[in-house]
Amino acid sequence: MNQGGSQAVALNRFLAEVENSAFHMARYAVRDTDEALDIVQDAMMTLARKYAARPAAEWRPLFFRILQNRIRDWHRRSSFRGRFFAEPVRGDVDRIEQASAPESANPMEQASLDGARDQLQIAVEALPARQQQAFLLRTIEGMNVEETAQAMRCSQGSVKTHYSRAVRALRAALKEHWQ
Amino acid sequence: MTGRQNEPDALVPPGVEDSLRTEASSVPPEVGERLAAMRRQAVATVDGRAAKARLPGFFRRRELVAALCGAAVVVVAVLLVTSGGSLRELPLVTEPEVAVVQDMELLEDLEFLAWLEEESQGAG
Repeated sequence: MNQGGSQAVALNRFLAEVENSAFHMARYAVRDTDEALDIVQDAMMTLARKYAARPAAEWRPLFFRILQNRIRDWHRRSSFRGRFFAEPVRGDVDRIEQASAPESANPMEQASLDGARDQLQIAVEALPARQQQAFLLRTIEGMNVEETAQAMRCSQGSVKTHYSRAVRALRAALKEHWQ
Repeated sequence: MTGRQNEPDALVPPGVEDSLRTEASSVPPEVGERLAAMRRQAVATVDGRAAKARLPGFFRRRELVAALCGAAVVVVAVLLVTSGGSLRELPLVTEPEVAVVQDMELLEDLEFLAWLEEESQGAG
């Protein structure tokens, strides 16, 4: 197989590995499925057009860096729109209202688990952008501090700071579900 | 997943991590279809560039291709002008046909001569 064909196969395999987690990261950040898909698509196309010729080992941090940049761009545009056009906050569902509170959770185990899952998702969505990025890159993608720093374009110390603050915030939000 | 094995990380309970990873590993079917379509489109970008790259480098230069097209147009124009703008007339008959016509003429001449002979013998 020629170089171009093998590169396409490798890229396809890589994107298939990361597309689900990338979608969830974007979804946590923008709270809208269609917007999240647009962001992921943009990241995929940018990686394919500009960086497919780079060694495959570089694709993961590059892809998530592109993804985080697109998310940041989305937040900037949203902030601009909110300042001038007073659009309502986008989101598929008001998760806070729909999620069951721990105090009123159904005693059945599955309902309790669902409530804890909802609370976790709400808490992650509520994290500040950089804390959320650091937390999700390390938790969902399993990146170490160095890889996360490359993806976030910051120092390793900053990654540790963002991550630990995220964990503290989640622990405080989840209380008894933090286990 | 790489690189975290050597890092002390007891801050996040395993249950929380597992919950997030489990959720992140799957998507609704319609989302999965859209992601797959996006992936195919991105990979096609690489395939398209690879096909273009397989051309000899000589032919990948856009300027060269444009110059070749222009030269072809010029050559055709010159040929038209130098030929007077009209096509050569095709011969009406082919060589074998010419030979057949010449034989016929010879035959007719011989028949005429034979008729003259007969006439002269009859008159004489």
